Amino acid sequence: MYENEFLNVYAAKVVEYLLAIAYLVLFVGFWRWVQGEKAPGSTGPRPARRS
Amino acid sequence: MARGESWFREKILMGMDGRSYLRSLLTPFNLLVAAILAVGVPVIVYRFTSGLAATTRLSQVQPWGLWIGFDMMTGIVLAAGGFTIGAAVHLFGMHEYRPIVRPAILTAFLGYLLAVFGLLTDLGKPWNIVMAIRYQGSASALFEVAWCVMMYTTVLLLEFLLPAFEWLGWRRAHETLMRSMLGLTVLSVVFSTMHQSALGSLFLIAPAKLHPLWYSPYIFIFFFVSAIAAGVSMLVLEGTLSHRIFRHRITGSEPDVEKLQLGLGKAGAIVLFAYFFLKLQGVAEGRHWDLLFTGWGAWFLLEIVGFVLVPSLLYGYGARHGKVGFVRAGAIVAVLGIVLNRLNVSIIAYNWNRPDHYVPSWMEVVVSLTLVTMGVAAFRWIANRMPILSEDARFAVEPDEGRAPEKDRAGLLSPLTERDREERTLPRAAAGR
Repeated sequence: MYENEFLNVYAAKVVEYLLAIAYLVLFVGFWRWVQGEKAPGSTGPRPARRS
Repeated sequence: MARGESWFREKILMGMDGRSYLRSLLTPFNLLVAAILAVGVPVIVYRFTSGLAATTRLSQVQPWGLWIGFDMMTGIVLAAGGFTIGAAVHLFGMHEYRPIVRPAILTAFLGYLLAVFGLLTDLGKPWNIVMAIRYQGSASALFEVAWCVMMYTTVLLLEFLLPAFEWLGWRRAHETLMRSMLGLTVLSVVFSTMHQSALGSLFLIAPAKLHPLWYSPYIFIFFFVSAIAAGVSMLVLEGTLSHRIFRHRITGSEPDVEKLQLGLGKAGAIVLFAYFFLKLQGVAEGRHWDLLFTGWGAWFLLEIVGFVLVPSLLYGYGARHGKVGFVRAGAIVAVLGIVLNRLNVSIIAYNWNRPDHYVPSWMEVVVSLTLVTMGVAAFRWIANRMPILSEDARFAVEPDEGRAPEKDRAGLLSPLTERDREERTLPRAAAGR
């Protein structure tokens, strides 16, 4: 009986695609880390209070 | 004094008389070079007179050895700084890196010359190298390598002629060459891209000989991307060494080398990070995850983690925190990693399953060491005489290539005032060897 090729992770190249996606996700963080940037959601320094 | 004699004294003997010049040659560096050449040159002569069998451990099973694996593969990849920085400055407009272009071009030129000489040494019938021109073997990766190396060495020679013309005072030839620099840079990128990857393509015909962890249908991409990483790393290393050793040769304002190296550190971090994942893709494509748990797997992991991922993080940390020491450490580890990769592909993991694995003879090692020594000595000789570390201000040109002077962040291409010209032509110190 033949194995269903769609369910074979290698035949479907799932590992390679997952690796590529993992790279792209990690690259965003790595790029920000190297550039010394902060994540978009994080707040910058607070504005000074009015006296 | 005759004009020719005065020229020779000024340009070759650096203003000294013959006796003083000979005395100035007695340095520990020169003595070491002389000792290596005293052994190496006779061995090279012996190789050409007695043949490969008398001097190497090459065989029909292992026709490529240290001279291809180290002199050719490693020499070419470590010369990649020339096209990397040329493209960054002339094509991508990163003019602040201009002060490190000339040392990189000179290193690349000498690296290619020595790689070609290493190849001639390796060929059983060196005179047959012209067959690459005569016969159009356009389906062969080696044909592509041969043509691209010939073309790129010619382009590097032309790029190197720029400081040579300044040294000789040939203004018209210099102006003509300056106008063609953009075109030469485009050609250098094209030829380098083709042959750096083609060197990897050479191994596509040996899937049964190369260990599966190093063999991949993507090997040509690995070779190209790692060449960029090697180029960036060599720029950092070379910048550190040459600006320390040849500082007296810098005229005018001194470039902020540390700032440039931090910028290169960012590029190195990104390229090595991408290269690390590309190598993992190679393992995934070949379905060789199980091989990672063998002895060869440990060696492979040492290469891609210890000499690719670690220098990437060192570069990134140094660039992020402004610590140039980390960037330099990353450059050293990365260069060692690229050398290890080329040796793994062409020697160590090649014919990995044969009991009589190739080990180079002492004469092969001596010839390789001699070629490297000749390259270092030639760089030193040229950098001590020609305007390599800084441009000759008398030949400064107005900015062209469609860029405005105010965009030149380093101020190197801004129109010079008379005072600037005077400052630039005053040497920092007259001494030199």
